[in-house]
Amino acid sequence: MHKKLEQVIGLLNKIILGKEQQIKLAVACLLARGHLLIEDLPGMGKTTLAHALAKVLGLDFQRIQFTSDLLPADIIGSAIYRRSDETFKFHQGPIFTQVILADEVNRATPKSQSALLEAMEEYQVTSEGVSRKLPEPFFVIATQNPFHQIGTYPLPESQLDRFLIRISLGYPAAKVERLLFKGQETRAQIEKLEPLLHASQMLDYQSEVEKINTSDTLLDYLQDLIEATRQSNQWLHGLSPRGGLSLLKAAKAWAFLDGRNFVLPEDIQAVWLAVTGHRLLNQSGSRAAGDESLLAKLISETSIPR
Amino acid sequence: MKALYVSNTAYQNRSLPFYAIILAQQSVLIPLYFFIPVWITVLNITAALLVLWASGKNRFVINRWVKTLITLAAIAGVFWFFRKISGRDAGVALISAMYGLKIFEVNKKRDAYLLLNLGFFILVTGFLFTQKPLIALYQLIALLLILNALMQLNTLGSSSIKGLASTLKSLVKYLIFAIPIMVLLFVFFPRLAGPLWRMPGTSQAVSGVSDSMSPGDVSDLQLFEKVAFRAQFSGSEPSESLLYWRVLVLDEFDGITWTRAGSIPVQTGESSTHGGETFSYNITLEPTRLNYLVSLDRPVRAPVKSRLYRDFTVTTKYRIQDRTRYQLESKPDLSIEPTMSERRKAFFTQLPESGNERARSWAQELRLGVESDEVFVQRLLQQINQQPYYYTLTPPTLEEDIVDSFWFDFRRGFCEHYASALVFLARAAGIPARVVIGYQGGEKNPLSNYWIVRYANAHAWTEIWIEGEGWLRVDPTAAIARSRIEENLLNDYRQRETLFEDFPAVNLGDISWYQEFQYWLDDLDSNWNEWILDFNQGKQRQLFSGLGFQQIRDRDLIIIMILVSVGFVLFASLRQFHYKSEKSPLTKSFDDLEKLLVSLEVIEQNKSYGPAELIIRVKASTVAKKAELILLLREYIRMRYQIEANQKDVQKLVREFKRVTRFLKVNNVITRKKSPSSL
Repeated sequence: MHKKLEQVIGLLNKIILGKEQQIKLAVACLLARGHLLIEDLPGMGKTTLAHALAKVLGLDFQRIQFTSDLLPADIIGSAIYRRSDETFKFHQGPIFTQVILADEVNRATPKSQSALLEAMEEYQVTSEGVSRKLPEPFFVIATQNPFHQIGTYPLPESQLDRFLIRISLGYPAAKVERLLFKGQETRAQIEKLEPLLHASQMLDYQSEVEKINTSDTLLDYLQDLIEATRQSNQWLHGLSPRGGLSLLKAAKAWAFLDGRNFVLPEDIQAVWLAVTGHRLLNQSGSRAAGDESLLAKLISETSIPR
Repeated sequence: MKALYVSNTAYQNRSLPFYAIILAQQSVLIPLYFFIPVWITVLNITAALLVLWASGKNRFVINRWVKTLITLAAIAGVFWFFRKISGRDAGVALISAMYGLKIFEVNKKRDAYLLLNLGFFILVTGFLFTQKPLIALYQLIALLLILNALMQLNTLGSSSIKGLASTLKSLVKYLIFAIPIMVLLFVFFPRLAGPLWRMPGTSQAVSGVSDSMSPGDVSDLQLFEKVAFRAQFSGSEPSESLLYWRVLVLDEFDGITWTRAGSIPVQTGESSTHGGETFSYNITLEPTRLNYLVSLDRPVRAPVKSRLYRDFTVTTKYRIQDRTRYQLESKPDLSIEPTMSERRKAFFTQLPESGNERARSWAQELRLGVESDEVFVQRLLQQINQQPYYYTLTPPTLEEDIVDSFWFDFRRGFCEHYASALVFLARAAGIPARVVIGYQGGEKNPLSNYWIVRYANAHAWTEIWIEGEGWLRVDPTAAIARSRIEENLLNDYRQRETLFEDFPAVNLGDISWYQEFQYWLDDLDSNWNEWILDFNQGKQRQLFSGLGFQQIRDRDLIIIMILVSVGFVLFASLRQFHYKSEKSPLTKSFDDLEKLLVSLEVIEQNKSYGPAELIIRVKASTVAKKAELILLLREYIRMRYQIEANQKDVQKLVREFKRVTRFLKVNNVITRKKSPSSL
């Protein structure tokens, strides 16, 4: 593993305890130029993770709390008339940053959600007919409450698809929680964090990840998996080509984190649940808890080409 | 990750499997070496050795002009040797020389394919010289060697070097694929009515008894172990003392040579059929280039397309050029000509005008002193038995009055001398007599229950005519006292012993393994001839009508043949391709290793294990050769996922896989034996 990234992950693990896998996935997501969706109950440390990530990586950080009355302009920014020179000047919204935490994204109206999603896909925003580039790297961490909570607008599949990886943090283990209670306040810890990287290094890593080798054997395996989701009647639809591509991107980043310049089937297996969990709807049209076990079953039943 | 297998240079330079190619090429040529001039053999072997030596070196190229020069010299050599370059001997010599030199041209894979495929055709030229079953057996080996070379050539880029057993297994598999086509072609290929051409240049071989007899003719034959004919009885068999095989009757004597004056065919119904037991049998006669057929003394009627003559010889219209098989019936006790006209009596008592005066007067005197012809003959046999008459194959040379000097002076000779003398003496006494030439005895092949009669069984005996009885067989040689038969003769030709003994039955328990092998070989030879070489148009038609196709035309045959063989080849190759597309050698060897690891309980049966995970499992286990296994798996990962592996490295990896797998298998057995749970 890259020393720097190793340090990054090590540091994050000190702040968010006992969530090594999720942290690694989050970093991988970032390396693969993807956006991260954290689906969990409030108070699980979603914000902490996002914040710490931005800080450690030396990236600018903004947070938007999505509410039902949030407007697109609140995200993108708006043109404001300036008296002094009698012109409209565009005031950048919070989205003009490198890491943005969209908290409780499913509480906002679809209109506002789509403003965020355009930015995620195009890496630019359009306001008043003018497109504006977003800074690089651009990384959205959206958190989402489980839908059974009141007053939520669940993200449609088309938009869920934009997130490369979905993770959920879950309750910490008892020992870990004890440490949490005994330890310092996390906010203070984050404040004290020294960035280990800076933006240009991050961009270098990202382009290195893209160059990672994928052999025919691996692509065979990938296609076998995709085909299996399409053939299975467990899900409403199979994995889309973009889904497949996402899987590959995430796997590349995972391999990169492991210090390899080629992807192994194990890399795909490692990112499998995080990449496909939010893309596959089961027959009832919901993403029930059973989903993950079905996906895990599929992985264990698909043989790796030898 | 460190590259484990630094491709070693020797391996990279290994281009064509020259050992296998040359082995195949020479195996094709070896049978021909017996028939072509020695210098071609030397040339070919030198060429092969040179190429073999050069294949180990880098960049050893024989100049193109040198090659051309050698080739031209070889052609000139063949022409100089034979004065022509066509015909069987010269043609095959030329082909062998060219084929032997062809090895110089093998630089690329394509050349090797050409050479090997040519081998299949050149293999056939061996059959121009000999068609024995053993050569066919040998050709099978040569065929396997060609296939082996082809296989090595084909697996150059993709697979590993196999052990002898598995190589042989796959070769036999290929042959088995070919067998149905071979059988099909053999059975259905339209046969021509006669041979396509007669091979020119085949030497005149010994051909059994001839149609005249001078001293030495028959006994010369006794030196040959070659098979004259085979006889198989259907139903009862005659006792061995009755095994006199009649070929022809000689009734004219010029003082030295007995010849056949000619006889008239027996008219239908003329031959008497009464009396005695009848034996029916068939005879497979080797080519004699004579018109006479062999029959057990005495044939009742002639087989198809032949005639029975009044002297009870059977002749055919054409000389017997090919192996012939015919059916016959014989009655050993049949009486011939119980009565005889005076004219015929005169004919059978005629002698040359002069010569052998002592014998004439001695015979006449003796006849006057006894009461009947029978007693006269009895006396003659007594004389042979009691006086010092010797049986030898090295008698003194007799030039004039051979009967006189044999009967009175030297008293040594072989069957012709005795037969000749007896007939001469009988005729001198006015008793009709004649010489019969044929074979006596034979050995029984206990494996297939037929009699093998060889040239060594050639024999001459006499027939004496007695009023009222007809012609009686008298074998003077049998009268010789046993003590006066040359010892070494008895040893060398054991079968002749039966002539002098009281015909002891063949003791089957006494057959040595060597003799048994001989019988087996003869059995094979006989069947080979009957079913393979003699499968002619007639037999083919017979087979088809037996199968229910009465009128099948050659054109239909060809169509059936082509359709079925094309269908079969298509089917077989489709299967082959299908199999090939399923698994690469690396996949297969990885699978094998995985299976083994499952059986060793290093991993569970789970196809979704990635290779990296396997490494982790192996690391955690206590399996033997752990470090080596991990290296192997890492290399596998490298080739499968990291780099565009070249074929040679993959091949090498496959070998490593197999080696480790084999080792673990062996080790596995040992640890299982050691494991305390079995106690």
